[in-house]
Amino acid sequence: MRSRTSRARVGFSLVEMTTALLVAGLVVASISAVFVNQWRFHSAQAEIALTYRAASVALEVLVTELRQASPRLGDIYAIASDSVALRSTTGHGVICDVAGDRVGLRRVAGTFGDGRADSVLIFIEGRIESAIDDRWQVVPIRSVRGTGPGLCADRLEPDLYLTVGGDLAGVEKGAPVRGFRPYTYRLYLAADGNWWLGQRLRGGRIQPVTGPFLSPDEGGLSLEYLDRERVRTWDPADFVQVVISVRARSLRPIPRKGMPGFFVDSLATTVFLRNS
Amino acid sequence: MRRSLTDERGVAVIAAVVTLVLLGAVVSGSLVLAVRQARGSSGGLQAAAAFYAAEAGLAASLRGWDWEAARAAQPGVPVLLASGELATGETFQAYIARNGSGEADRAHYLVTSTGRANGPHGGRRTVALLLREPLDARWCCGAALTAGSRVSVEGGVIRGASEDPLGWRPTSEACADSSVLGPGVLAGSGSVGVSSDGVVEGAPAVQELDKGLDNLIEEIEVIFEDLAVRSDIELPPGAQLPSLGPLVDGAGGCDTERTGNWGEPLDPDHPCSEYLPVIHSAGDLTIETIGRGQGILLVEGDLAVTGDFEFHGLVIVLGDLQIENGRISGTVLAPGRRSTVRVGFGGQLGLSKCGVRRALRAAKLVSPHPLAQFSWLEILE
Repeated sequence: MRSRTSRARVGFSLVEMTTALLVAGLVVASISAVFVNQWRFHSAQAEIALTYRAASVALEVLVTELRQASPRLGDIYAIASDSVALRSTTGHGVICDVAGDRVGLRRVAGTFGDGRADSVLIFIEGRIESAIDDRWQVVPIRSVRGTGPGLCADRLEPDLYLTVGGDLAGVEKGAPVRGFRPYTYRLYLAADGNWWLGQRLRGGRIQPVTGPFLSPDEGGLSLEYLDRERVRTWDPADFVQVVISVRARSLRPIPRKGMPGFFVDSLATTVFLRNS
Repeated sequence: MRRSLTDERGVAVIAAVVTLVLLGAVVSGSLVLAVRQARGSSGGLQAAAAFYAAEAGLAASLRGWDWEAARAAQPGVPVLLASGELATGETFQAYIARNGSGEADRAHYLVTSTGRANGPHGGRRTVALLLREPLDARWCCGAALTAGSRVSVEGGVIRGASEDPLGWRPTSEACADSSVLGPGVLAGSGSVGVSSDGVVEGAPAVQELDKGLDNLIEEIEVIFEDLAVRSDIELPPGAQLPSLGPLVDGAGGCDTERTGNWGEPLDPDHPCSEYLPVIHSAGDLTIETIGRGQGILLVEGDLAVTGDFEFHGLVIVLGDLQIENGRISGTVLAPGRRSTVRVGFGGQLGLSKCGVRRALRAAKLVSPHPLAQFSWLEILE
């Protein structure tokens, strides 16, 4: 049997091991530092992106709601510097059949609901020679069906049947119809201790839309209503533009060297009401 | 002795590979985040661009309103009305559909315009406008003077034709067929008195209209209200106007902020030549000054024109009308049943279909107009 000699052994000397561990430690420490910095940067960027997103979503929601509201028609229920209550358009269509308390709709876009707060505005034309005696009548929706009795003039079924709970006198075929729900938008303090932009259906509970934001006192949501002379007004039937400002805040503190803190982003825009 | 590869020992390669993988993960994570942020921002911008392109489509539809396309539209069947591309590359397409189910329905229209963003991720928004037929213009151009009560021509002139200012005909499409002689006065039978030095001319000079006069007068009163809510210039009762005439602002444009500027009917090259305001007087109005103007003049009370003043367009007076020295070219409507119209010495009323059409076009009364109170809507897809 051949004996093993020390020359044949494979391994590391103590010096080699010490050197290798030292070098490896330095490498790992460097990589760790890079990773920690990257994690901080990544987390900060993600928080900043979410904060910016919350601010832009809040503006987009409010602008879309306000842009097509008609204060003169009564679309605005109440205004305040940090909230607005309005008719939120859900859909529209054109009447092709009227019978009793039921109308058939064609050219439907959006949705019509039959919840407790769902209603429609139906256009009623006055004298044909005048445009200023035309009006929109509000009637609550009782039910929405895809099929039912009654046909349009082309002997085909309407796209949608609405049974309503109001007077349909004077309603003609061809009249446009607009479905809506009454919503209030405002900041509210949620159970997590943050202020969120909430949407509350009349008689319902407030639901979060986006956030978080600074508190109303800190300018989390600010609404300024201007009349035709660009003068501030508190008359819900008399404004034509709204200056909306939001100050969104990151959900978590931004991790950074030194003292971590919340990131705050501000956005502002002006919306002109197309139906004012 | 030759060393084989299997004899190699160490972790350098593995460590390098692991490090590279980890660094790659970090870099790709950051890249994904950056791309997502950029895409989010770009998406918002493109949505906004598409929205404004859609609004441009609505504006283009109204500007180049095509009655043939509108009237040919069958209920519920969209017809292309306008399409185009903006300088920034966004495109729009606007369609018109007639609301209703049959011929008997009153004409309402839904114009929908879809804007598309110019970019790799596209973006589309649709907005719409509810329109109704314009006011029927048949009521406006019947005669130089349409009166609901007594007309007295004492030294003045009423003609069923009028010489329009030089420069109108070649430049205005509205004047293409306006040389036809029309009636001088349209009124109830026996209500027009002409003195020996007064002149009433036309084809016919006086058209008596007993049947239907009430309806016509009622229609005019309703139209007065419609026009009044569109006024560009509001005058309080008894307003004093020291001067009337075209005014230019500091930048050389027409100064439409001044209540004494009623446009320039005589000089087609003047900055105010295309300014034809709707002027509404909430009570009596007396014009004693020298001057000129054009557009639509609505007077809720009495109108007295005694200065050397000329007006081109449509005039509706709900009270008494007295005109001396002044000239009105277009048409005058005085529907008041208890009012009087007196055309004294130097006063002239002339029918000008061209003048009336220009005024109606400027007030956008011959194109369809949006429904009152609620007409604009965004279609959420």
